[in-house]
Amino acid sequence: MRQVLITLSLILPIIPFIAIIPSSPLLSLIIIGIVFSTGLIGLLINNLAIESWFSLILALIISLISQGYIPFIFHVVLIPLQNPELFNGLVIMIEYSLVSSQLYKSYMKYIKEFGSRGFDKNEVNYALNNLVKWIMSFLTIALAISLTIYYIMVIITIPLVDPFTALVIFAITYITISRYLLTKMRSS
Amino acid sequence: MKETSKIPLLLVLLPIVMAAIAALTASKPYMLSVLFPLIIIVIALSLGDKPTILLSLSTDKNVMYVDDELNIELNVIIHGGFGLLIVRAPPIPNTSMAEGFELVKGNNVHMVFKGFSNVNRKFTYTLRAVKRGNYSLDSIEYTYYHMLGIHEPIKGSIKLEGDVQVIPKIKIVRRVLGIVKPRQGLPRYPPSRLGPYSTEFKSVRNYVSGDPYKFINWKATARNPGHKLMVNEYEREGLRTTIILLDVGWWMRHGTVEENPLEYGISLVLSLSRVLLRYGYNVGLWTIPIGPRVIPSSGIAQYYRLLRELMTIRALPIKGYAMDLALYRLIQETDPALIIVTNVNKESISRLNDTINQLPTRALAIDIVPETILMRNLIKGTPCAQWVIRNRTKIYLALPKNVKVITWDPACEGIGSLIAKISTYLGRWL
Repeated sequence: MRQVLITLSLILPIIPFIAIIPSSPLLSLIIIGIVFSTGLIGLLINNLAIESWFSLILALIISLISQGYIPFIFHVVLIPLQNPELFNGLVIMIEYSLVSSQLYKSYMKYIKEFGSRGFDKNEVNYALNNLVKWIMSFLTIALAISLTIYYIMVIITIPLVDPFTALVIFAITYITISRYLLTKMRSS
Repeated sequence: MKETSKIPLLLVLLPIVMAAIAALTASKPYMLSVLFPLIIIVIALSLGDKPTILLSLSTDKNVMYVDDELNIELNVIIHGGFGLLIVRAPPIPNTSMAEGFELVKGNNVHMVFKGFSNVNRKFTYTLRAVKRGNYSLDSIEYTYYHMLGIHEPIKGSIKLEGDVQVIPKIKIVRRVLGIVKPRQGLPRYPPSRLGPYSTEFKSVRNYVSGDPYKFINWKATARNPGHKLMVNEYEREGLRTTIILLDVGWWMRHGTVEENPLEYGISLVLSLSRVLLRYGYNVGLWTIPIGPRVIPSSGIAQYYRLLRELMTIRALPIKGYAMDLALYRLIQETDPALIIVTNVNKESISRLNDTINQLPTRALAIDIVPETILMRNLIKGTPCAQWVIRNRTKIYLALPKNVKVITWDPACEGIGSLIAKISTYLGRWL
């Protein structure tokens, strides 16, 4: 599973930038090169997450300065995107890679920690591979559910709630989940 | 293990950041990035139950000799939860058991993945006892890590009730070629005053304080004109008394934890006392300078008394020897054969001399030399050549004249051969 995690953590962060090749080929290739190099450096220093973080920050900056309120206020579009919807949607891939890179870090740490404490290497590999397989499955399920919900949101043309109510519902849901999670983490 | 707990924090932070970006860019696809981490959190929370962990352990024996193997079976049952379980079965590091056993087969530490199905696993491993002692199995330690670290690792331990007794290795000597039995025949040698009573009648005499009531001869008492209590006197069992003085000074620790003069000395004391008891001797044990003592007696029960006390003996950093008055009186009364088990060196010689000079008897010192043991730990296959051992003649000259010394290199000479030498000395002595 180590190779799978490395591949996902290296490849997924560059996918959103492939989407901007038609609009700015040179710039996108430069960005892809830089992001990928960061990933390779991260692999060497055993911190693959730096590629995902770098890619996420870069993607959000590009997104902010190419669409929405900021270009509207400043009347300047720094990177004109041909398909901004696709670019924004692909940011989910960076999130996926963020989790997988953290998982890779944990995986390597466990291997190192338990490899030197008298544990049977095959047993440790088997247990960790099972754990990673299940987490990857849950990530993929979460991705599929997100796409389904998004698809439902797109196809339902009649607005069920106004934007403000939607924001309030999201805020309440988010606060409830995050508070519950943080309480659980602290209480255990 | 803190890396996994970073994932939930990341998953909590991402939706709010993405929601802010979605608002600033007025872009609907960012909803995907908001939903994705939230759904992962929901999945992780739904699998966040704490597991029920049942751990049990069984051993194939409770009493064993040094170098014997102990087979252990560990059973792991997990219900609920979703994550990794790390189990550490005995010997737990930094416990006495960790010092006394080594792993020879299998593993006492395990990592188990708990998915949706319940776990019911059996692990077996084998330990080899390397040092005598009474060892408590202590506990089984475990740590449970949730799949995504949504709660802190659950650490716990399960107390185990069992004990394992590791008896020092003894050499069963069936027949001693040397002369163990005294050369004089009955009735020339005096029976010991301290042996248990036999059934052999000796005489009738006046009762003195301390005589067992069951020995009162009522008919003789009735016939006695002075109406004094009369008791039967019986011959005592045991040919002679042998007292073993076991040195527990710090120099008895020279070598390794498992192989040092003290450990070899204990094996020798047990093997020798078994032989002597078999030949009807009263055997007693004193540890010098301080420690357990066993009053001389005979029979197999005495062997187990000696064994029980020897299991608890540890080498001590000592400043000087003090004479036990009970030992002094006993030597005066019974004129025993005195055997001192020690490691003669510059540190111990003066203290040994102080002790021996106070004892009103001859003594046989067994000098256990640790040099070859030490060399064998450094260089594998060191031959039993005398160049390894420093010349001890000079140091022996410093001992009092009433002490005979037998040098014993346990790495090169067996206990059986040593006992034969000791018995030859004893035979001449008695």
